[in-house]
Amino acid sequence: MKLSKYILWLLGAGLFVSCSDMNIPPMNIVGEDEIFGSKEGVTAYVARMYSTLPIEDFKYYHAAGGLFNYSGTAYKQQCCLTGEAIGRDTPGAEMENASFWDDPFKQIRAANMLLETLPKYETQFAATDYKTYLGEAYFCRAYIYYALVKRYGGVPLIDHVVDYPTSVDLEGTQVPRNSEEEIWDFIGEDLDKAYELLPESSQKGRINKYGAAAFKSRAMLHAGSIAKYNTVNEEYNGVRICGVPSAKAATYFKAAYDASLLVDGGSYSLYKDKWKAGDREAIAENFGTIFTQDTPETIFARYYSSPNAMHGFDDSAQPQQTSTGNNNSEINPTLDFVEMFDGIEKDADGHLKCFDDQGHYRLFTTPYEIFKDCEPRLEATVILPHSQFKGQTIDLHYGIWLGESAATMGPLLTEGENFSQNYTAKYPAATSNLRTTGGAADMTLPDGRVMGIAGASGVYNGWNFGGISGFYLRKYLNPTAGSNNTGSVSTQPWIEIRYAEVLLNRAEAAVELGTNLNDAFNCINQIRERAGADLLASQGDLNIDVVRKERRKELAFEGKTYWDLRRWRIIHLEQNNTKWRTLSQFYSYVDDKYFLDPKYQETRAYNYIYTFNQNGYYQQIPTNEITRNPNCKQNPGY
Amino acid sequence: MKKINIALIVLAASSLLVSCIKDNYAAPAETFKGAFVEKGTNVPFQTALGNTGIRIRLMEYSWSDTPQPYDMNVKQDGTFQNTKVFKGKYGVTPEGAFVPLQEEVIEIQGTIEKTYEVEPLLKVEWVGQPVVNSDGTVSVQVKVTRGTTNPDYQQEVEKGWLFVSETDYVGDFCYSPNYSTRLTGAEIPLGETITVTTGFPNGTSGTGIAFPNYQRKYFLRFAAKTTVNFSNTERYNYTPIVEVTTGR
Repeated sequence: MKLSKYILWLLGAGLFVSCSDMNIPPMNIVGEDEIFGSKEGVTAYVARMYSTLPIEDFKYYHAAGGLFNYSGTAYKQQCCLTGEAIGRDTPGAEMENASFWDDPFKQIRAANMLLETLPKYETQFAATDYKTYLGEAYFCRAYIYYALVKRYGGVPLIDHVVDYPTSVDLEGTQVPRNSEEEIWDFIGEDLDKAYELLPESSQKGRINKYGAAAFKSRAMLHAGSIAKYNTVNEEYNGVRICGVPSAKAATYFKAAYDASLLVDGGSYSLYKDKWKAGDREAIAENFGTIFTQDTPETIFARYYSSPNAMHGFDDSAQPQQTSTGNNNSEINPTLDFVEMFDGIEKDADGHLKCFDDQGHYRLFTTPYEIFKDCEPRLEATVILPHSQFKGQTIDLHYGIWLGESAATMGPLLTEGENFSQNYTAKYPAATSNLRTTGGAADMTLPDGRVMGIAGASGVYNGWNFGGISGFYLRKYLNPTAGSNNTGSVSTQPWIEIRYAEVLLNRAEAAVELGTNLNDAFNCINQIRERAGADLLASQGDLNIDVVRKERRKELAFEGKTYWDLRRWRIIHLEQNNTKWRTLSQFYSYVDDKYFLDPKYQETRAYNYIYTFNQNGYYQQIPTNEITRNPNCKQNPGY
Repeated sequence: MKKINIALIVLAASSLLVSCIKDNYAAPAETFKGAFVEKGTNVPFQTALGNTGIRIRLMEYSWSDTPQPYDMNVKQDGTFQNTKVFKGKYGVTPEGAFVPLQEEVIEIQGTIEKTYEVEPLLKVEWVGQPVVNSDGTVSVQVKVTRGTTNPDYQQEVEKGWLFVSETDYVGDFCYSPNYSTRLTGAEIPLGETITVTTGFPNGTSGTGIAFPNYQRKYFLRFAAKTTVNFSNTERYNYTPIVEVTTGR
């Protein structure tokens, strides 16, 4: 009995003892000090900020929910919304999928979290590392706000971690939109801080101080254009959520100009290693190299790698002929785009000279002939008909003409017919002299020769693959002969900002301001010389249209033109019941030569008529955000 | 023990048969109808279908000061009728190509009928009848004048359209991209009778696109707008619809 009492006491005493190691942090959760207390932790954190940055790169898809990092086949391309190109799957002036809201605010929160928490651990890091991380967070936050403001105008300005429910209640999370002006100013301030904090040079794919300055020149130029050209003035509770006072235009343009000068402190330059004066081939090769390898022109880029992070740009934009499978031919540059370039014979209206002075077709040994003296930059941007790509001649001809000599013949279609009809409506294959095809079928010519009715890349008819404009894109495509392009197999880096853009930003800001015009003149001529284009003769030739055209040529197919047309507020004028023009190439049997016919884009399953609605200048805020946040005012027109 | 189990099961099962009686509201049954007419003349206000016509924005203030807007649109002749409105207190704001109206709070219950007398920004009228030309196109004459003397809405004319459609739904929401004609503001001098021919969808240069040479009906409407955009939406003032039989 007594023994059992002792045992009881002993057991009872056991209750007062515990393991001293019980109070340990949970092993399955990575804590704050592990992330922000070590170099590895912060690097991983920052890497995620970069990888989620809303860059309109190869994996941007305007029809996809969330818009960014789309992993499926990109049937629609942004450059088909600008008149740069047409694609069979882009039926008109589409707007972005209205779903971009939650992700950017998550990313802003991540940046704010770093900015608030890292100072607690400052002593753990070397001073330069510490400043770099902070600078990167400021840059990312500015970048995300730029992606928001260019779409929606003013958005809620969140510069701290909103800690619900600890510090604010539900109503405290329902933040109203700030004015558009405040957002632009905030972007400018963040980029200034990033410029102060960031180092002179950085690891590949990370931003440095010159990148921040380059980006500031872009953002401030955008802000200045809104101030100058926007006409929407939407106020809510006394806050101008859409539009910027026009008096601020000069301030922003000046900020853009000044920021562009800062970039010159770095070691960036226009790439000219392979450039040789007067050598068209060398100049074109030099220009193409910018997009296929790292050059001193790349300021900030997103890199891809095999096998984990790849994109499918080669798949989408590949010519029919060189496609190894899956998709192709989504980007077909328009004749309107090609006609912007120098060195091509044009008529009095500035159009490609396809007809002689009597109004008859001119004849060419190959369709390439008319482009043989063109500006080399065009050659490097576009695959011209019958030019070389991946070791093949890209044959884009549309059909075969079996009638009289084309040299005695006027246009196949009248102007009205050209806009409203396809060729086959007037020239049915059975009863006319024009042969076109829905596939790459061959025909036997009267002299016994066998020839493809359409070229191997020129399958125009029907709902089919092929070069529907008479041109293909070359910029950014992998030029290696025989390379695989089936699905997401490409790893070319996306150049988000390069030095040429900085020069163009500077020139545009200067011309908008009307000051430093000599500097602007030099910037434009540096770009033109490198491109092999005609130089500006004198400063008097410089005006805003010259600068804009140069920008559209130099930065074409780089995701910039769309936003340029929007900030200049001209896209609704350019796209107003508009059909883009293509170049049809026909082989004339009697002449044994080709003739070229400019043709409005033909109707397939769609009409391909582009009209940009003005309410698109301020996009729709996702409706679920309007429902959740009663203080968030929708943009006008939705 | 077994009895208790059975009793518990019965209790639990019976709870499934109960539900809240309040969640079964009646379907919306109130009617809101009416028309838009031109102030002074009481002529029906011609407009487009959908958001580019007239948008009537209803804000139901019965429950909240910041409700989700509920938009309804009107017919081409400016009339509207919605027989499925929830009973409640609404802030009603019509918006179209006319001098803006202030929000009006209306208690919608039973049938509410409203006639809005509005001042169009532009008054667009036919002059005479359409003429079928020998080349297969159709010419019409129209006159565009100011519809309001309000000094805030005397902006210049931005553009105009002769919309052509295969059906009698015709306007910027539905038109033939081939046979319609687009005009610039400079081609529409105010107060003058102008002649417009079909088939110039890309601007009035070159040759027009002719109608097919067999007989068929088309529906025409002329529209013009000033540089003013309410809610950032392009809205035109329209003529009534006119029918024409083409063919040579």
